[in-house]
Amino acid sequence: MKCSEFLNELTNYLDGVIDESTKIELENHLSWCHNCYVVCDTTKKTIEIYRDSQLYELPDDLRTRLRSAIMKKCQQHKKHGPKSV
Amino acid sequence: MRIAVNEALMKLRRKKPERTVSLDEDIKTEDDSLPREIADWSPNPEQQYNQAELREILSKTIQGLPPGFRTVFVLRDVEGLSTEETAAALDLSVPAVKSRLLRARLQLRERLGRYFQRRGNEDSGIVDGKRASGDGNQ
Repeated sequence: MKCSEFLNELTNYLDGVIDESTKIELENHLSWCHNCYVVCDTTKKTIEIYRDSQLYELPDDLRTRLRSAIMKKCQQHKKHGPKSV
Repeated sequence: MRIAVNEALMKLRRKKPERTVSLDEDIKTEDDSLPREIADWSPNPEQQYNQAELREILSKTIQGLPPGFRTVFVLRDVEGLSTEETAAALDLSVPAVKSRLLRARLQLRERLGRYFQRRGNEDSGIVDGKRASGDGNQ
């Protein structure tokens, strides 16, 4: 696996949505490529820091309404697909 | 004919070095290139700053992202929506969400690196140019 291929898989890897054989290849790459290890580790920290930051604190009520509006849209999206790509 | 063959061989030879990735060059992804900053961060970077400073840094950094990337990052990584939900909410395809999320994460990481980078003397016990001996002899 090359560094560019690693980068393309990084999001799937961090989200845990990656097939087992790609994961093994990726972790093998991380075991010897220090640069990619640092990129992976600091990207993970970036996500954690923002997740814990409460920068986007919403009232519970608003969050619930937002969520249900998105779910409703999700149903339509499944039927018709995205308007634009 | 021979000239054409030689020319082709030269081109192939010239191409070879691209197989290795230079740290000084941008990395090509599907639709764009991403700059690359490799320096490692301190173990607990967020603890280098107080709460107000940290909020300021995080807010300023995320504001610097293109709005299309920022929205995807906030919905996926802060609000915890799935890729499919984010795609539906923004009328995007799933691959478009994934691509934006990757670029948003990498750009934020790089920008935060300016604040969170491991300092050269951090592990040597030297703080602000003085050795942090902790003895009370002064």
